Amino acid sequence: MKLSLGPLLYFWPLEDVRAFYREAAGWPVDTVYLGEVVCSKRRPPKLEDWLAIGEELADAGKEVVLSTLALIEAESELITLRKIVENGRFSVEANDWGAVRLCAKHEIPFTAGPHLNVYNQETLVLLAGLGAQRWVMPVELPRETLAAMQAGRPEGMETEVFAFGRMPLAFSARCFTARAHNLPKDDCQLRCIDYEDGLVMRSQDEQPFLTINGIQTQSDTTADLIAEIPDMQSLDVDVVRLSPQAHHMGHIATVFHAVMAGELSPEAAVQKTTRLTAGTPCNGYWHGKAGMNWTAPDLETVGE
Amino acid sequence: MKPPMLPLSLFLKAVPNTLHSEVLGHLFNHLLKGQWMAEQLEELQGKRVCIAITDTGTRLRFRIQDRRFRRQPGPDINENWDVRISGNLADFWLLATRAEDPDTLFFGRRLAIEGETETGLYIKNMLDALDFDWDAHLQAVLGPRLAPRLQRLLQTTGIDRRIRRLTGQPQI
Amino acid sequence: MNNKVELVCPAGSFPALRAAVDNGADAVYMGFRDGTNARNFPGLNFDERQARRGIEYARSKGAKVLLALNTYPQPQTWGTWTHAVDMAADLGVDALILADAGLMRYAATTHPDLRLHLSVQGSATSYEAIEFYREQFNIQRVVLPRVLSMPQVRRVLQNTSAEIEVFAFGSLCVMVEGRCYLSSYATGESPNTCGACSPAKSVEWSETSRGREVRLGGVLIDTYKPEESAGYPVLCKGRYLINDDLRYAMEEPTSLSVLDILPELVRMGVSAVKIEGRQRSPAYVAQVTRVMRQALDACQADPDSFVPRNDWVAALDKMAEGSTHTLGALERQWQ
Repeated sequence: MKLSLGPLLYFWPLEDVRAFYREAAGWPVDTVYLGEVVCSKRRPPKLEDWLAIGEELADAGKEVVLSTLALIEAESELITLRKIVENGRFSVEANDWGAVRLCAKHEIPFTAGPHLNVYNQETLVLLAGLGAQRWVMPVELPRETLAAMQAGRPEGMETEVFAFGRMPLAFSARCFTARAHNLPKDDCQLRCIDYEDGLVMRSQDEQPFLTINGIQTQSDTTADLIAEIPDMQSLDVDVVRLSPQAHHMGHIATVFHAVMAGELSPEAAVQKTTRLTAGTPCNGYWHGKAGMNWTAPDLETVGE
Repeated sequence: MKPPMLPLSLFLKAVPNTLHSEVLGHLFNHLLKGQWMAEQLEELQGKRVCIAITDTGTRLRFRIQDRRFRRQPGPDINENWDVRISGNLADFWLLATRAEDPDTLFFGRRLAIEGETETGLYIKNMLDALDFDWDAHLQAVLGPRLAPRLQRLLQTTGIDRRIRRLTGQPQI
Repeated sequence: MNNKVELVCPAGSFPALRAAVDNGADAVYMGFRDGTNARNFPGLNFDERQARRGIEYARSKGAKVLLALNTYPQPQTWGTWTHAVDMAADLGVDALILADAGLMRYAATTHPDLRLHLSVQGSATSYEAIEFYREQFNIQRVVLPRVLSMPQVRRVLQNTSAEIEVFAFGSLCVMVEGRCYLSSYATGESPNTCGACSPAKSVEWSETSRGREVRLGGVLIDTYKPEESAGYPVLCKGRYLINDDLRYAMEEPTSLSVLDILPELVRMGVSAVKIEGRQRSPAYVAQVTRVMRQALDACQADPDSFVPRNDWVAALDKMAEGSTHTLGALERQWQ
């Protein structure tokens, strides 16, 4: 079982991004996804910057994958998409079907990203035929569906599960960060750079609920499936994904790696990671419940 | 301009709630007769519905049993219903005769649903899906003596005209 | 105009279907009574018998019937969806409206002659994505997600041979359709998995001294003062605290209406305009269809001098969520 670092979903200053990945080169992660998934206005880092970061990570022995934008609207975004697909160096995580079309056309092996809506085997078989070598399960799907998918997945198809981080829940044409600052999207002043872990939205009774991240809406809670690692191993999950947050990522990666290597018990690990989450922890989707729910692992019945 | 509601309001106030429930219950059951939707009432078995007409102070309570609406006696307290739909008389008539869209009334705060939203939505959608000729049903339930009187009442209040205009029925 | 733009109207029940057809719909769209369609609400939609009756009625008046199978089947219940595809083919609907790529694969191989449309839930926002579906499954028409601006819609039209259908009126998704998990995050059920956004069983309305409070999955999403217009209890149209400001963080209760830009859409070459609202009553369907029929006829007869009539705007606003309308993403300022 491998550990991956998902694409950075927030907008950080270029120097912070570089520093983050310089550190990541030393973490026990096998794969690093790079690139802008949320908003094409977030530059720098430009594609060239991402490619340079990719080279450094590749030198450190990491598998590097370039992630594509989830919501594609403008022609300029299609141009960037084509550049990513034809980069000639790193493989690609396709986050919409236009990207899948281009990867298939250029016969580039790719990862089917979490925003592609892969809900059944037939879709997986279709993707395999088009050159997909890995798929990332959509965050809203439960363990039960994962088990069924694993039972019938095509030969050579790797499965990756989003196991840590604030979950991407929705995308819009509208930028909610700009809206919060009473700015039009075309003059957003890149205000999302002020929120390293996104901007929290609370209900009227003061409960943290969602996280605004530009045009993306995330959970306020942080998914934490570290206690499910043994279960994922029994289901032959190939890759476990950690989605970057501003702090403690190296520590979190180390703890996940220790559980995967059998050096740390899930019970002990969850005590460590739940103290490091940006929001309160959640694992509802995994258990087939509302995504925001948290079932403390020690309360779980055997065999669940 | 809103039609004057006075005569019908007086009529409703003068008649005890139990009688309204009785008449409306009959009307619902008659509407459901032979309708495909009646089968679905099974899924609502045992649900208690309260219709609260705010401007006349009328409370109508039904329990759904064996695919029928049955009048439910007892005091009007929260524990006595699963879902309560409240609004004023004119809007309920618009709703009953399907001249107005329930969601429109809801957005405009003219209708309120409390309690089990799902049960309320189910009933709303079921009534929407009924296929009926309002006049014929009114005749069948109230009989030849009462039906024309209610019709006349509706006409004098102007509701009838409004209903016909909104539903695209010929004006009389 | 040489191309006639089709008016596509919602049918959540037989009376709604009849209201649409009688008031001038060119086509109606409907769903079966289960999670295979994205308006899976109690008491709504068609069983096989009702569907047959609906199709018969629509055909007798020269209207087409489209069947929405626009949710995402999972392995455990895959058979329910393929059965629905087979049943629709057997009923002889004019087209299927699909969202899931796996199901398209099934439909295209099992019923090669069945016309396929891509649902808005399929989230095709660029011509590259549209061309993917067209090449793979011979998709004939695509319903565009409500995230593109007018120039972007034009660009799509210029770069694909697939027909394009756009939403013209009705409740507005703020998020790109088919990729929104807000509902399942709070309730466990989403449009993708269950065909319901904000399922009724998770909604709680209460009339309190502060006003009408609405909760979804226990989360307080809004409080309406007595005089305020209400909307559907969806997460994206609630009021929340951001940096201690209480506001509609995403969108206020409002409906989409394209009346103002109908001539541009017609000139651009859209093939169809769609009215949202299979969850609404026959009264809504009748009134909206009547207005849109008149508007579309006027617009196609003489697009250059087309001006939305005041009574049309008033009639539509009355039925709109929040009793008000917007052009949504079509207008850049909205974004």
